[in-house]
Amino acid sequence: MKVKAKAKGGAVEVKLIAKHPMESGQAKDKEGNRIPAHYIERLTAEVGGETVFAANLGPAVSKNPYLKFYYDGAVGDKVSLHWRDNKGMEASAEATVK
Amino acid sequence: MNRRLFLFKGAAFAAGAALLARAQTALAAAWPSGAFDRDDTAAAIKELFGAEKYAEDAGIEFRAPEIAENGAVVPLQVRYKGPAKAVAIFVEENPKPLAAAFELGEKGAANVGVRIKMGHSSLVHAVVQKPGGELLGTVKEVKVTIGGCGG
Repeated sequence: MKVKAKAKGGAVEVKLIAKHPMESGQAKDKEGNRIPAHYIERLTAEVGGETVFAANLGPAVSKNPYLKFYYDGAVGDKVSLHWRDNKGMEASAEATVK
Repeated sequence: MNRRLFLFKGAAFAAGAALLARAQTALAAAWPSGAFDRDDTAAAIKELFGAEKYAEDAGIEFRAPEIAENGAVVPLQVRYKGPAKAVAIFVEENPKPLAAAFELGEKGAANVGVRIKMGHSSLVHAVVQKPGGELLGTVKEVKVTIGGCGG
């Protein structure tokens, strides 16, 4: 997961890209077999133990999901990000607000 | 300890643990599977927010391309300057309309950008839930040149 967190106009802007295939379950492979759905379900952002933002994603979100969100914070905050997908895989990342 | 007392204590402990768990995850930790499973937009809005209809609100800034050449990556941004606790995006013509549902904590702002897949040209709804539960929304048509759901 690539994360950038920047104080901007009194708020913090967080931009992230999570590496994930986000298979919709609609696509087929070369042999015509349906590729099973595989997608991030939930991504959360915590600052100082408080959840500031949570994204519930469906299979319609693009491959390698890009998200941008804002919260009321400041330079130096540590933003902890975590996602879990529909197969139980997980990943975490942390960014310090600049 | 007799059996009844044991059961009582067990129940009290379970209730306490449940309360604690709820307090720790002020934002519901569950992915709303029911809403993601609906194949009709009104039904998906109802499942997610408890009401089928939203009030049209010009205060919602919804950025979406008029024409998306590549349906695999359609950039969307929803912004509402007032207080809000949730934002969701519904694509009428997708197999399952709910694309993404965002929960905003006390410090979160209703200003979210995401990239989604669209199989066909469609009306796309941006819905904002105010802290009191009231639903506001707006809709835009996005024309898709090449669909983005594979197959």
